[in-house]
Amino acid sequence: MFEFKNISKKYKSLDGDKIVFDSFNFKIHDNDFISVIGTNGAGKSTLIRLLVGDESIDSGELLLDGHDIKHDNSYIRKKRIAKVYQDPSKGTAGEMTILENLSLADNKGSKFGLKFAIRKKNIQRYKEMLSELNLGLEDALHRKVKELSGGQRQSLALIMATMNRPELLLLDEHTSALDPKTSDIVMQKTKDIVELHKIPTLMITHNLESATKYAKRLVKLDNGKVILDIDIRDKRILDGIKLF
Amino acid sequence: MISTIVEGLVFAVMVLGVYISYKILDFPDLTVDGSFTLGAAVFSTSLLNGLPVSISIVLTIGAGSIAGFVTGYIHTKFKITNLLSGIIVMIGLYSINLRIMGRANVNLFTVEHIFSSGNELLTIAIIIVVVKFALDVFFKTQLGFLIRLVGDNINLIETLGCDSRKYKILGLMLANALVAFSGGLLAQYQGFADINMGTGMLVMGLASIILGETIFKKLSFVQLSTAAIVGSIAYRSTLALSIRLGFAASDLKLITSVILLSILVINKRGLNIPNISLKRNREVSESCLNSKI
Repeated sequence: MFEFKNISKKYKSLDGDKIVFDSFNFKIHDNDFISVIGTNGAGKSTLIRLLVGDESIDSGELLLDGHDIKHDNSYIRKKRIAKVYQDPSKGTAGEMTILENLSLADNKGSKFGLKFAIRKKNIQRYKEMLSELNLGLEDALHRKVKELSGGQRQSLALIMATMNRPELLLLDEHTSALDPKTSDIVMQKTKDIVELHKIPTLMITHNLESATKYAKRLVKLDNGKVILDIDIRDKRILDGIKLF
Repeated sequence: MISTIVEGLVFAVMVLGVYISYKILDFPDLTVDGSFTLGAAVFSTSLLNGLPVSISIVLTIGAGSIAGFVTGYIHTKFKITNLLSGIIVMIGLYSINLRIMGRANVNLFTVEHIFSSGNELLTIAIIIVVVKFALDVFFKTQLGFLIRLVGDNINLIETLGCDSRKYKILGLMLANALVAFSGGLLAQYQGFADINMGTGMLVMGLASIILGETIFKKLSFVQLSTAAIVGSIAYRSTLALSIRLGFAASDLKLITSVILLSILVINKRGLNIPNISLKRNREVSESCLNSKI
């Protein structure tokens, strides 16, 4: 379980300090699939950046199973926390092939030594994983990733982020750069993978339909505060709630 | 003709180093101009002090990798731009190289070295095959994959739970080790080491790489190292041809500029020389056309 405990964060600017979080408290449970919504500046992206260590925490504790990981380097945290970015190119290596990308992701958390990166015994497993996407990628293992479409590349990034079953999956508006049809396909793949591997997930989105359709829990942030935190598996609960 | 090929292969070791820093790490590393001379200085001084060739090679490669480490450390630790980091180390190396050699020029006519046996082409061909094979294999390993990520998508290294700074520094160490080794080879081939022999090495390396890539377009990763080697020979051949056509040695820098500009213009205009695409790529492209996204 991840827990933000009395977290404070402010940005310094010429116009004075901008407080994003002030004594912020929030928990992510092991079986959560949380959609986080909110207007620009509400603190959604900062929430993710604090989790993965791309931004430092001014005060408070960031607990993972009771241990404060606040001082861990970003790359150390990322061994346990996976992230799929808004930009499909950020989660993959464009100059490398699909097979090379998968081989890299498969070794996440282990030592990168002088063994050959591609192991033949794993290729069939990769093909099976890719065939579940139904995008034809299983027949394109030797194709450079930069030649793929945005949807194909984001689907690959999703596979790469989840193939080692991270302790937390962060989705940072990961379908917002895709067209509506592709976005739906990637979103469904996301749900399938998350449910299959039981990965706690926190998804930032501006798409209210996705937020309510795929997640179990809906959280709304406003000026660094949680102003709504509901279980949305019972869709009736959404009736009458004004989300935006 | 043979001497041009030998020279091209000697410089090809340097070109492979530049290829690593410039193409793989996306790091235009001016350290090269200093580490090339550093290699020549260390190799020459080691041989002149009675050390065997094998130990001299180890010291040369070690010195080059230290130069790369310093550049990488300055860049990653103090957040100094890649160009400035390289310039700082290059300038510093000038004085260090002078201290190592003791004077601006030392000759190796009195000592035994790699090329003393006489068969220079065979010797350098074996060296370049070993270096190329070792590099091609290295960049297929897990560590090699991470170094390739430095220039491709450095954020992905962190995403994989690794410290990206470490792999950038490692890549620069490898690149400058090769450059220094090349400097040491050239000192032995021409029989002397000179304090100014590294000047313009980065540009020469880039010209060779671009020339090689122009000759062999759209090749797979492993074959690109071949393109760098062929580019080096092609570049030296062009310079040799210029001399034959009556240009003075002092004109060679200008000719290098013209060659580089010409290749870049040709590439921009899309004047494809051979477009060698892999059959496998065509097959997978067709299969992907049938995909849903």
